[in-house]
This record gives sequence, C-alpha cells and structure tokens, in this order.
Amino acid sequence: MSLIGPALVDGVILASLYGLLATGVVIIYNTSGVINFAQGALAIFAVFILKTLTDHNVTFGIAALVAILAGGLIGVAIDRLTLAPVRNQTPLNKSIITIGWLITLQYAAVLLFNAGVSTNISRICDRCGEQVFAVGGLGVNMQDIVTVLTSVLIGGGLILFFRRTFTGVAMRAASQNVDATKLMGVSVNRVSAIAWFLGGVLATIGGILITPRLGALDSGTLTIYLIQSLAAALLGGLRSLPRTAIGAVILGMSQELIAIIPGLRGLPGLKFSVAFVVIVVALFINPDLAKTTAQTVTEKVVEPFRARWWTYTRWSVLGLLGLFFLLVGIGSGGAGGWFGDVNRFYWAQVFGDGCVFLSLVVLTGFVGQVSLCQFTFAGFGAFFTAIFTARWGLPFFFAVPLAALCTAPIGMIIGIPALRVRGLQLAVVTLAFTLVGDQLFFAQSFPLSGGPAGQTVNASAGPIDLTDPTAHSLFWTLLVGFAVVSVGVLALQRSPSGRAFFAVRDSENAATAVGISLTRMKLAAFSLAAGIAGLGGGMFALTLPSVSSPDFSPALSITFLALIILAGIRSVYGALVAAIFYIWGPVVIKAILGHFGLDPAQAFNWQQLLSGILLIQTVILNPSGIVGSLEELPLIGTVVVKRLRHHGPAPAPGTGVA
Amino acid sequence: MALLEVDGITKHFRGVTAVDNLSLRVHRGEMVSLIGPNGAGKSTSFNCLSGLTQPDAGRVAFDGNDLLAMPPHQRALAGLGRTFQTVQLFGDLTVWENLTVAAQSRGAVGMVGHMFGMGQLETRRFRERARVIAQFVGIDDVLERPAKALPLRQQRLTELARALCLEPQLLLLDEPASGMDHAETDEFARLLMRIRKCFRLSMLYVEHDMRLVMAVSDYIYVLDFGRLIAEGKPEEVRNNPAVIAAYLGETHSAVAVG
Repeated sequence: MSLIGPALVDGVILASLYGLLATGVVIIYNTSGVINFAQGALAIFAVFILKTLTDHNVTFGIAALVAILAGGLIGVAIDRLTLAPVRNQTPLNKSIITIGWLITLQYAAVLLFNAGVSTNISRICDRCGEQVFAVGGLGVNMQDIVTVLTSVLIGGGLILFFRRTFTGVAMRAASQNVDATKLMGVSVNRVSAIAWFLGGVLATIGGILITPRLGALDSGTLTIYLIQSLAAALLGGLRSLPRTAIGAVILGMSQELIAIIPGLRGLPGLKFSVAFVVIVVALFINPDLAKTTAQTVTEKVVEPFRARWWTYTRWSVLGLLGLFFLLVGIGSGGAGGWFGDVNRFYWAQVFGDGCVFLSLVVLTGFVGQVSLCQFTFAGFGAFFTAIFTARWGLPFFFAVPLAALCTAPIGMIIGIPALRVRGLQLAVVTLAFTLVGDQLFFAQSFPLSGGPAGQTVNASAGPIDLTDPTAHSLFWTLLVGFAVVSVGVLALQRSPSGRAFFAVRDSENAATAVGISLTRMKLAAFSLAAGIAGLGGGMFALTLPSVSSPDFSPALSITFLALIILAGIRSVYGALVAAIFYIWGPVVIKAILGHFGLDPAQAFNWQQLLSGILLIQTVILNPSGIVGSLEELPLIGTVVVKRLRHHGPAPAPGTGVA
Repeated sequence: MALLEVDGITKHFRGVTAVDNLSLRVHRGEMVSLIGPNGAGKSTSFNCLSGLTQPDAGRVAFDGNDLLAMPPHQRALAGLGRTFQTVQLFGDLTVWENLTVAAQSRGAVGMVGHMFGMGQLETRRFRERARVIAQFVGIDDVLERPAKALPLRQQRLTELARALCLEPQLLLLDEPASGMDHAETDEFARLLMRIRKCFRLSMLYVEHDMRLVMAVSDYIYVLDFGRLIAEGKPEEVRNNPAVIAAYLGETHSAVAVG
C-alpha cells in the first residue's frame, strides 16, 4: 500500500504531461493528417529559449511567455515554410518532413544552446518545489499541483474551443474534408496555422512543466517523452481529445504501477518500455484504432527511359568504386592520406552501416513499411556479436551471421503489430520499440549489455585476427560482407519475391486479390530486414573495441531513416550513399569547421543539423532521393531535346524517345 | 452442383443491414450479374466473397470448399479472381510486372531461393502466360509503362488481365464499365464474351450500366436495401414490376413486395 499511493500520484502527473504533448499531436493530426514527430524537439528548443532568458535575469513569467509564444511560432513556421508547399502530398511524406524538423530543431538546440550537455532547470517558480502539501497522507508539492491543474484546464478549454467556437468547428470540418471546407469559405491555410500554433504552444508548456521533474534536460531525454506522448495519442485513436486524455492516463498509470510490481522492480528500464506493450495490446483489443489507409513514401512517375541510361552508367560507377576500394584495401601509406590506415577504418564502418541502410531499403523502400527502429535491430546484432565473440570465444565469421540469425526473430515482434497498423501508426509503434531495445536491454547490465561500461568485442578468435581496426583484413572482411548482402538485395529486387513485396507496398487489397498473403510477406520482410540490420550491427561492432547503449540510441534510428530517404529509399545504391554520408559527413565537416576556426568537436552535430535540413528539402523537392535524381538526369535531357524538336527549325536526329 | 453457392449471407454495419439473407448460384461457364440501385449492398456482398469483409451469418461454397473459412489470399489462389470498383493497381510497377506478380503467386520458389537466383525456369513460364493474356486483352503495347501513368480505361484492362493471370475459375468484376462511354462499353462486352469463351470461366459482376448487363448476362439477381427482390433471365428481370419500382425510386413499395 505504501508504494501504490505515491505511484498513483506520479501516474497522474505523468499522465497530465503526456496529455499536454499528445493533445498537440492530435490537434495537428486532425487538421492536416500529419503526425508531428517534431513535437518533442520543438519543446526542447523552446525550453532552452526560456533557460537562456532566465540566465540573463529575465523574470520567469515573462521568459515563459516568450518561450511559449516562440514555440507556437516555430509550429507555424514548420507549417507555412515546409508543409504548405506540399499540401497535396501524402500525410506520410509530410510527416517525414516533421522528422526532418525533429533532427533540425534538436541539433540546432545543441549547437545554439549547448543542449547536448545536461542542463539544470530546477523549478518552475522559485519556491514551488519546496511547498509540500499533505493530500490524503501523501506529500504533493506545488509544482505537481500546477502541472496537473494546467493540463486539466487546458484540456477542458480546448474541448470547449472545438465544440463551441466557429474556428474550432471549422478546424474539425477541415479534418473531415479539406475540399468541402474550402468551398464553405474557410481558409485551410489559416486553420492549419492555428493548429500548428496550438501544437507548438502545448509542446512548450509540456516541456516547461516536464523539465523540473527530469531534474536535468538534454536533447535526448525529451525524445523519450515525445515517444510516450505519441503512444498516448495513438491509444486515443488520434481523433478525439477526451480519448487522448484517457490514453495518457492509461499510459502514465501503467508505467508507474508496473514499476512497483515486486518481481519487476529490478528492471528500471521497464518503465519506458511499457508504451510499446500497451500500444500493441490496445491494437489487438480495438482494431478500430488502426483504421487508416496504407501510405507509402511516394515517388514521381518516371517512365522507364531512365532504366537504359542507368544500366550503362551503373557499371561504370561500380567499376570506379571497385577500383577505389581496391586502392583503399591495398594501400599502406601510413596513417594519413587517401589510402591510409585511418581512411580504411572509416570505409570499414561504411560497410557495416551500409548493411543497416540496406535493411531499410528492403523494409521501407520495397515493402513500404516505415520503420524507425532499424538501428535498434543493429544494436541487437552488435550486442549478440559482442557476447558471442568475447564471452563464448566464437570466431567473427561465425559469430556475426549467428547474431543476424538471432536478430531476425526479434523483427517478428514488430512484424506482428505491422499486420494491424500501417504507415504513420506503424512508424509510432516502431519508435516505441526503440525504447524497449534501449531501456530494457542495451542500458541494463542484464542480459545483453555490460551496463554503462558496455560489452567488449573480441575479434581475435579464429584464423583471421580483426582486433586492429585499421588492418587490411577488417576492411576486406566488411567489404565482402556488404557486397554479399547488396547482391542478395539486388537479386531480391529483381525476383518475383521482390515484385510481391512491391505489390504489398502499392496496394494491400490488390495484393491479397492476386493471392499474396500479407501476413507472410510482412513477417518475412520484417525478419529479413531485422536480420540484415543485425548483420550490419555485428559488422559495425567488429570495428569497435566495445559496444554500449549510446552507440545505438533511439535518436540514431530516426537519423538512419532520414538519411536513407535523403539518399534514395528504393535503391541499393542509396544505402551506400547514405552510409558514406553518415560516416564521412562528420570527417569532412570537421575539416571544414577547423578551417573556419569553429569547434571541430561539434562536427557530428553539424552533420545531423545538415541532414535534417536536407531531409526536409528532399521530401519537398524530390521524394526519390539523391540516387533517384541521378537516374532522372537524362529525363531533363529528353525534355530539352523534345523542346528543341518542337520549336527549332532543324529537327534533331530521332533518338527513339516516345 | 454450382461453382459458387451462396446461402443466406447477412452483414450488418452498426445496426444497418447492408446484406440481408442473400442467396445466389453461379454455375460453371455462366455469366451472372448482380444489379440494384446505389447502396443496395452489391459491393458489400462482393467483399464478403473476396474476403475484404466477413459476413455475420451465412454459408458460401466455392467449388465444393467452404470459402468463408479461407483467408482472403487463399480464396484468390483457390480460383477467385477479382477487380475493384476503384482501380487498385500496383501503381509503381509496370503493367508487365503487375501481370507477372499475379501469375507468380502460384510459384513454388520462396524468397530465400530468389535471393540465390533460383526459379528462373518457373519465371519464364509465368512470363509467357502474362504475355499471352496481355495480347488477348489488348494492352501489349503499354507493357513497359508504370501502371499509374496509364489512362483509366487501360488501367481497368490491366486489372482485368491481372485477374486472368491468376488462372481463376470465377471472375468477380466490380463495376467494370464505370467511366466508359457507349462505344467503349460495347467493346468491353465483346471482350468479356471472348474471355468466357477462351478461358472457360464463370463471371459474377456488379454493374450499374444496364446496357452491359442486358448484353452479356445469362442470369440476373436484383438487390435492393440488401435484399434480393428479383432474379431471372434478362428479359424476365427487365419486365419485373418490383425491379422497375426500385429503379424508379419507389423504394418503399419495392421493399414491401420483396
């Protein structure tokens, strides 16, 4: 009994915080069909504005108002600058833009406010934390009361707003049918701007209230709370505010209550892993939660003329790459230089991460299942590899494939909810799963990881010793691994199985109608992708002395999806481009920063910021990614030729272009 | 025994009875149509057969097997091909690939086999079949184009060809002629007759266009408010007072008659 009381109180407080963040998500979803993944990052950014102001001796009240207003304006900016130009794209594409904003805002906060380091924002007001009230024998401080009251008042106010005011009703109408609403004389842009303003304001208020509870705030922590609030929104069916509140209460309560069950108390990571379990259970109890249409990352219609051009170019590009890798592989010019030891090590890492990107090409590019947890699968592969090599003493060429085999069934865990949910909802479920991996497994000393110290990798067993990360043998081993997986994925892409995958991606109903089993296809795709990611994680682990939880943080899974969309989600070559950008980006940026006299240690953060911005522009301008635009280059040529033929006096010789 | 025997299927949606105790028969080689005004429950009945929804009550036997016990993709493999009211193609795939996906779903080689380059012989056979069907339907000149870049009429033909690639015994066609003008409908009717002759299959279709229905049906079932109000050969149905009433909008008297 003594434990249940405080747990219930904590549950209520958590619920109100989740409720605030989730309400913003639901309002935005309802008016624009977009799940705002940037909700948490927006909160961080605004809270750091608040902190900066109070550090400069601005009184808390004014600083908070400024921050809240700023949060709302950032929301409007996201909508106006990046979503308005793509109103007619699918909600999934638009939501990926918000993933771009998530990364951009998070790393902008890191670079501007030094938010990577934990910062203390101890209390909402000076004396709030100290005033403790006795409520029914339990100590509750002023801060908690303010938190709960604020959420309840805001929630009630919003419900009234949507029922009673013209603007509120117009916003609900827009969620039902945008075109009809336009015809009734309501400006969709205005409605959308209001929704985003509200979303930003709610995110900021939630962020301000949450910070004192965390004690310290860093850019990663709020990611966890974002995932929780998305889970709460999903539990409420993403439609109604009262149901969202119920979802938040269920989630907050179950998190606090599960932590006091005697047998489970020893597992601290359980708390945040609950979200995944609750969502999955809810989806099976109430399938209505999952009623959405399938959406895939869309590409432009490109007539197959490109295929011919690309076939010729592909071989020359491949030949040049092969020659380059050969030089890197045999080079021995000491540590530095193009073909030196250091570069060889980076290339080895490219091949490991390249496999993780390939798993996204298969799962998201081929089958259309959006996964924000591929790097978590890589983490499982890496930890398995570490255990198999260091504890069991297996040679790497046996340990890494075995790790991949062990990771593949874990993919099924995600595959099962994927039978019920699609598109955006699936993205949220996979995001919740990253917390299961991170909190329940990687960050704990049992059973996979060595706790904060990590798990040692021992690549010395067997005939080939890979302990030296700059050795030629490591480079060649990982190159061969990556090449084998690439060829396999290419073969899959051209095979009937690949076409069946594309069929599931393009229309699930039609796929069923031609005799394709969705269950079989999705489970196969998820376990295959998890296996490939696990293999990549294992290969990556070979380049490190030890692996630990921060190497596979939830935020990295998000970055991985962003980078592969940037590079070309449907292309095997996209995976290589993404891996090169991921590994070489910070190296190159470090050199540039040093040149301009900036802090080179920030290179990784600059790269992340850059990839966030690039992701946003990719989705807006060219959804087929970098590789896709390369393939389309000759199309531009074709258009020019056609124009010339139309207007020019002397027609160009026929090129057989239809 | 009939190829398809539907006995008393019923489907409710939140208190609304969309299909009420519907029974019908499709014999081998027969072309049967299911007609009725908007909202009569035609598409719902269709979805019950192909597995997109499951009826609340009733029994469906297809070729002697219990259809309702099979998952949707199994029904397709058992010989039930279908097209959709709003075209559902694999938009990013070429027409050619759309057809081979369907043909290939009967293939024996699995995913892991394909990753290691197996199944070439099988694939060649399926490709040949897809090519023949494309020629038959008349889309062999657009095989290499992405399906979503085609005009609607060719998309409908592609969908039909895809269903044929499954080697079905029964084709379910959901408003195949919607959006076509008179000349196109007549041409389409001729195509359906040729398909029946050459592929020796049965067809059940939902249709609005009475011109097509009267031209190609052997037998007609008429639905209104989820119930069967009439059935018979085209000329019998044409003169049935309950059917005329339903189509002219005297819906209440029609229900009373039915």
